Order: sequence, then structure tokens, then C-alpha cells
Amino acid sequence: MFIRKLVASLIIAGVLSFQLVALASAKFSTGWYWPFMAYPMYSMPHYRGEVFVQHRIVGVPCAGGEQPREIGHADLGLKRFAYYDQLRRVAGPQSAARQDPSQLDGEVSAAARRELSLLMSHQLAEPYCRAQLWERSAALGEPLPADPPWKLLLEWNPAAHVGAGSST
Amino acid sequence: MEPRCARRSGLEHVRSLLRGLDRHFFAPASLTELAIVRIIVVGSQLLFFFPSLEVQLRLAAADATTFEPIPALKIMLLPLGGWGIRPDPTLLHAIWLAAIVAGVSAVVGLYTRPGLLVFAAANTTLVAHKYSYQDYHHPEGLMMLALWLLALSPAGAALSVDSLRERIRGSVRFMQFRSRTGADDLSPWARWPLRLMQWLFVLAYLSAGLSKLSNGGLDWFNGYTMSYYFLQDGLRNDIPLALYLHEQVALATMMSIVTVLFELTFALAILVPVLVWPYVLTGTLLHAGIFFTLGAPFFQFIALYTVFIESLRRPLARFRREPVVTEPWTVIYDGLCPLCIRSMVVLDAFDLRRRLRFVDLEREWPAATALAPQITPAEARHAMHVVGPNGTVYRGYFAFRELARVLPGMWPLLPLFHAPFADSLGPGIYSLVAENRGRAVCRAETCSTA
Repeated sequence: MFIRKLVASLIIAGVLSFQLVALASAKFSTGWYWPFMAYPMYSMPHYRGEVFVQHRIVGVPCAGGEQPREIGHADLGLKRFAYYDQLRRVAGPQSAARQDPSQLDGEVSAAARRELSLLMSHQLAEPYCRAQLWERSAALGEPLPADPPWKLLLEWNPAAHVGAGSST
Repeated sequence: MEPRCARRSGLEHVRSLLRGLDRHFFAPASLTELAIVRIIVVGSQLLFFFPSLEVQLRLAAADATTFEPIPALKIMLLPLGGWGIRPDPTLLHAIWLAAIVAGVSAVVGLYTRPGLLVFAAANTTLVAHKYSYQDYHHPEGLMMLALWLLALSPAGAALSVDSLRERIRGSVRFMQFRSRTGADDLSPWARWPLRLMQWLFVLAYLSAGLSKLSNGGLDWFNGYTMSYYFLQDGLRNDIPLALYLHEQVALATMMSIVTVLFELTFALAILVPVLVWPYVLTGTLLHAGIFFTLGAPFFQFIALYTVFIESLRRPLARFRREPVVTEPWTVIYDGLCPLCIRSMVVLDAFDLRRRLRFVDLEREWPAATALAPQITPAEARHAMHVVGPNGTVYRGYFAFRELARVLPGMWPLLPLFHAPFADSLGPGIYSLVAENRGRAVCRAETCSTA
């Protein structure tokens, strides 16, 4: 009975300790020590006037008569948030979002566009002759239209970018 | 205070704390409630949250440069091939199938502990594999810990095939059947896994609440923070409700306050048991709301609220209707017959509402005679008899048919008993079994006339 209680107590202490460390250590917020993890979701504050921006990529196939189609994160083999981040970098200085200085750099945007073009050529079965980056935005505290309109931000030929080199 | 007195006082405090912790984690608790948690948690993981084989195989085929095994995966796969190996599709398929088999075994309680261990290990491996490609999420963490804790607990000691077999074995070995009592259901080992899960809930919610405070301070409650998340996920996931709520800033402010208060004070659900229902209901609404507005599925948390089962059931007892006091149904059985003893154990297991009374005709013949004077000892030894509350006596096959009606656990058998020709064939089959069963002539302490 004593041994069994001791083992159970050690398990309790060990599990709670791991979880307490997960609360305190930034390392645990990366999910590396799953299932012991912190839960910081939705914890960043936001303010009136802040602009939320949404992007999407539409590809126009080279084959004549094909309809343009939206290219999602799964099509490119990207995780969802990596996909959003990639498109945000491609949008760069032209985006309506409040950007950090590095994203206002046109070179960063161009490099991101090359990366995206490479991904499209590697991951998608058919070739696309045109890629379009669309954006829509909404500001906090402002009335939101029923279906916020999309705006064409950029258009380019992915094949040309692939041929121009891929390194950032 | 003198140093010696201070030391003694300090020691007393420590002893008092240890006693309190001992009671908190190891006071006797219901094995049946632990078993209910086992069935609900394992059942929900099997039915609703089970890892998708398609996703596993797709990841296994992904670019090898994206594979970064997390420690949990490395540990789980170490016995199967080495540190940091990448599982191939065949291995993943085998683990996935093993998880299903083990899960079903764990739910019905057949080889419960091995089943729970394999189920926990397989699910942990599959989810850890999913999170080894530079992406991770939160809903599964607590569920995996719960599965492991159930595997280490006596979760199979009640409501299981294992417990039934154990009771049958013991009863037949000593040739004595004893009906279950409330004391049989209590164990000092039934409480700690559920308590630990409760505290893990507290720490998870605390993490969420403290993150909001440390990252945003009071700004987190400005209404625009929650409004932003409604807007973000409403547009990304096309959720009209979220887009509507994003414009209700005052409501968003209130919801922010309620959310963080809930997260920071969840410990009260443990420390003040009367508050458990408000917290569980609020949590359920919170997680349902998060799903319907932000598209974030945390349904595992709702399923895991069953770990509060003891505190959840206590207030319900007040609302339970007082059972109408009825005479029990009396089962007269042959206590020298191993098959009969097995049958009594099974009937007792199904008798959740304690409606049956058992009379061993060899040890309690006077009681049997008083209930049914028309039965002779020879008749009683030949077939099981059931005496209803109104004095009606049922014999053999018909006794079993009547019990199937009385015991809800046996209701699935009713169609068999009322199938065409059942009343013709049933007694014949019963007689065949009764005539060929073994029978011990004497017990050690008494020898009745055979």
C-alpha cells in the first residue's frame, strides 16, 4: 500500500511539475514538449482602428479555357499560419495592414513572391501562367460590409519568377 | 516562541498538510465512477477525436526536411526502431489499427489495463507524429494525459468484463456467491487520477488566463481584442456569427471579463465542490462558443469534464426521485452449482438498481420455503426460481425471461426471449443445460443432503 501510494504520489508530483514548468517556460509555448504545453492562444491585445487583412492567391492555369482557382495552404503543402505569413510578405508595401518595417521592404516582398512561385511550380500539378494576390481588409471599430470586397493587389507570372532564381 | 516549539509547530503544519493532501488524492472513491470516466473518455476519443489515418499517411509521405520529431514521438517510437526515427506508412497503419482494437477492449473492460496502455501509447504516437511537422495544436494534450492516467488507475475494476470475470472466479473458487455492497465499490486508488486531471484543467486554464494578462494587461478587456479575433476568424473561416459579434464591442468586453475570470478561478471547481456545475456549464458554453465563432475545436475538454463526476453527481442526488419502496425480486438458486453461481454473479452485475435478493437454497432453505412454499428442494435444485414481489413464482427459462424484463441491463436480450418459438425452445434448452451442469455435493463447512 505504501509503495503504491508513493508511486502514485510521484506521478502526481511529476505531472503537475511538468505542467507548471510549461506555464512558466517560453520553450513550452512552441509545443515541443507536447502534451505538456502552455495555452497562450488569443492572448495578444488589439485596439480600435487596427486593420485586419486577409489574403488569398488565385491561380490562372496556362491551359486555355481553364477557370482561375483559389490556391489554398493545403495545395501548397503549407501549414495554415505559414501560408498567411507567406502571403502577407508577398503583399509587402502595397498591403493595407500595419506592417513592421521589414515587410515594407520591396525586396522582402519580391523574395517572398519568388518563394511562392517555386512552391506553386513544385506542389501544383498543372502550370499556372498567372498568379494573383487578392486582399481584403477591415478596421476594428468600423462598420463591416456584409461581404467585404476583395482587391487585386498583385499579379505576376510564376514561371518567370521561378526562372529568375529562388534564393532570398 | 522557543525554537523547539516553533519546530514542533512547523512539523505539525507539515503533517497536517500531508494528511490533507492524502485525503484530497487518496480518500476512498467510487470505482464505478472511475469506470464511467473510462468509458466516456475512451469512447469519445474512439468515436469523435480519433486521429485520421489519411492525415497520418499524408504526413508520412511529406518532404523529409519538414520532419522534426518532438520528444514525445521519439520516446514512443524508441522501442520500435530507434531514437528519432520517422514512422513509415506500414507502421502507422499498424499503430492505428492497434489503437482501435485496444480502445474497444478498454471501453468494454476486457484486458482493461493492457488495452488502456496500448490505446494511450498508440494515440500519443499518432498525435505526436502529426505534431512533428513544424505545426502543433492544443486540444489533444489533456486527453492524452487522461488516457495515460486511466491506464495507471484501477479503471477496469468496475463496469468491465474483467471485473465480472474476477468476481465469477472468486465466487466459484470458494463456492459462495455474495451480492455486491456499496463498500465493494470504494477504493483509495480511484480518486487520484481524477483529481490529477482536475488540477491539470486548472493549470491549463490558468495558463490561458495568465497569458492574456501578461501579454495584454487590462487592454485585453478593451472589447476590441475579442472583437479582432471574431473578425479574424469570421473572415478566414466564413463564420457569420463571428462577423456579427465583432461589431458588438460592449458584449465582447463582457465576454472577455467572463472568460478570464473563468480561466483564473477554475480551481474553485475543485476546492468548492458546490461550484462545479456552474464551472462545467460555463466551460462547455465557452468551448462550444469558441468553436461556433472562432472555429477552434476543444471538444475534448468537454468530454474530459467527466473527471468531475463525483461532484457533478452529488447535487443530482437531491433531485432524484425517491424510489418507490418495492419488495425485491427474489432469486432462489443452487449454491452448490458453479454454473448457477456464475449466473448469479452476472445477474448481480446487471442489477444496478438493487432490485434482486438472492437466496441460496442450500444455506437459506427456510427463507426460500417462506417465500415459495410450493417449491420442493428437488425442484429448486433442478432449476432457478424467481419469486416476484406479488408472490408469483417463475421457473427456469421463464425465470430468466422475467429477469430480463426487470433488469435494464438485460433489455437487449428481450427480443430473443420474445422471438417466435422462444417459449417452445427456451425451456428445452434450459433443461438440457441444467441436466448437464456440474454440482459439488458438499461445502467444507456444511454438507447438505444431496
